Amino acid sequence: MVLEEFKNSVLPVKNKLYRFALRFLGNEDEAKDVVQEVLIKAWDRREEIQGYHSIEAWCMRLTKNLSLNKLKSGHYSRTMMLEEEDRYDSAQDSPYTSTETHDVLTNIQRLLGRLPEKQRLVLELRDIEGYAYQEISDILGIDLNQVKVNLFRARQTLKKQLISIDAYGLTNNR
Amino acid sequence: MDLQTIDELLEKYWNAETTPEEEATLRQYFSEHEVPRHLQGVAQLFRQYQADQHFKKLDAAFDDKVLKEISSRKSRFDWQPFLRIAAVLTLFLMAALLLKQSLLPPPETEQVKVVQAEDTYTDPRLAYEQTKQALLLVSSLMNEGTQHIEELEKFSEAQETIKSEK
Repeated sequence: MVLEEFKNSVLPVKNKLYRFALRFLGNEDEAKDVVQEVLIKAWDRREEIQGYHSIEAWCMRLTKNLSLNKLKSGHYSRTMMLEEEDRYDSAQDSPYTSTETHDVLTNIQRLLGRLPEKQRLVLELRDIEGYAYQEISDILGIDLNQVKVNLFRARQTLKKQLISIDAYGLTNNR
Repeated sequence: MDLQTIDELLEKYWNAETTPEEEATLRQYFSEHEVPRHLQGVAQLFRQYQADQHFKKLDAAFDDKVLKEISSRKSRFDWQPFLRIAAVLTLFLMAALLLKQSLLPPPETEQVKVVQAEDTYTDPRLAYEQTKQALLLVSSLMNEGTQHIEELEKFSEAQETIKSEK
C-alpha cells in the first residue's frame, strides 16, 4: 500500500472511527488520540492488513480495543460524556432554533444514553454508520444473532419511549 | 412518498426488519419533509442520527498531523536498509556456523585416534612398559613442578617472617 492508497481508502474512515471511539470514551481529545493511533498502526501494518476482507472493520475493531484499554487505564471518567453533550447542543444551527427542538434532541440523546451499552452500540453502528449486520458482528465480536436481538430490543425501547414523549406532549400536542 | 408507506416502513424498522435501503428511505423522508404530529418524535430520532454524522467529524488539521507522522515513519521504516542489515546479519550467522562446524570436529577425531592408539599394541607386556614409562615421565615432571613450588613456599615463608617482625 502506498501513501496515496492509504489517503484514499483508509484515511476517509476517520470520522466513523472517531464517532466510535467517542461512544466509548465520551471525550473528544481522547477519541482523537485513539483514531490517530489506529491510523498509524494501520499504516505500520499496511502489508499485513492489505489482504484483509475489510480494512475498515479491522480499524473499527482496533478502535474499540484501544478505547476500552484507555477506559481500563482509568485516568479519566465517562462523566466527560455530559460535558461533550452540552457542547454539542450549543453547536446546533442558531439560537433561533426552537427550544422545543432543542429539548427533544437532548431527550433523544438521553434515550440513547439510557440503552444498555451493547444495544446502543449495535443501534448506532447500524443507524448512524449504516453497517450491515455481518459487519457489526465482526466489529463488536458478537455473533449475528446477538446483533439482530440487540438491534430489535434497542428499537423497541426507543419506539416505546418516543411514543410516550409524544403522549406527554414533549414534542407537540396531538 | 405517501404516509401509509412510511408508517409501514416504520413498523418494519421498529421490528428490525428493514433493509439498509429502506432505512435510507426513512432517513431521507424525515430529513426532507414536514412530518405529521404523530411522527414528530420519530423524525427527531432520525434527525439526531444525521446530526451525529454531520457534527462529529475530524478536520483537515487532523489529516495533516497523521500524514506527517506517517511520512516520518515511512523514511524511518524504509525497507532497503533493513534488508541490508538483515543480509549482513545472515552472512555473519552463516560464517559463525561454518566456523563452529570446522572447529568442532577436531576433538571428535582426536578421540578416535586415542581409540586407535590402544589398538596398536598387541603385546600386553609392551603396552604395560610403555604406560609405565609414560606415567614415570608424568611423575618426574610433576616432581619438577613441586620443586618450584617449594621455592615459592620459601618466598612466602620469608614474607610471613617479615610480616611478623613488623
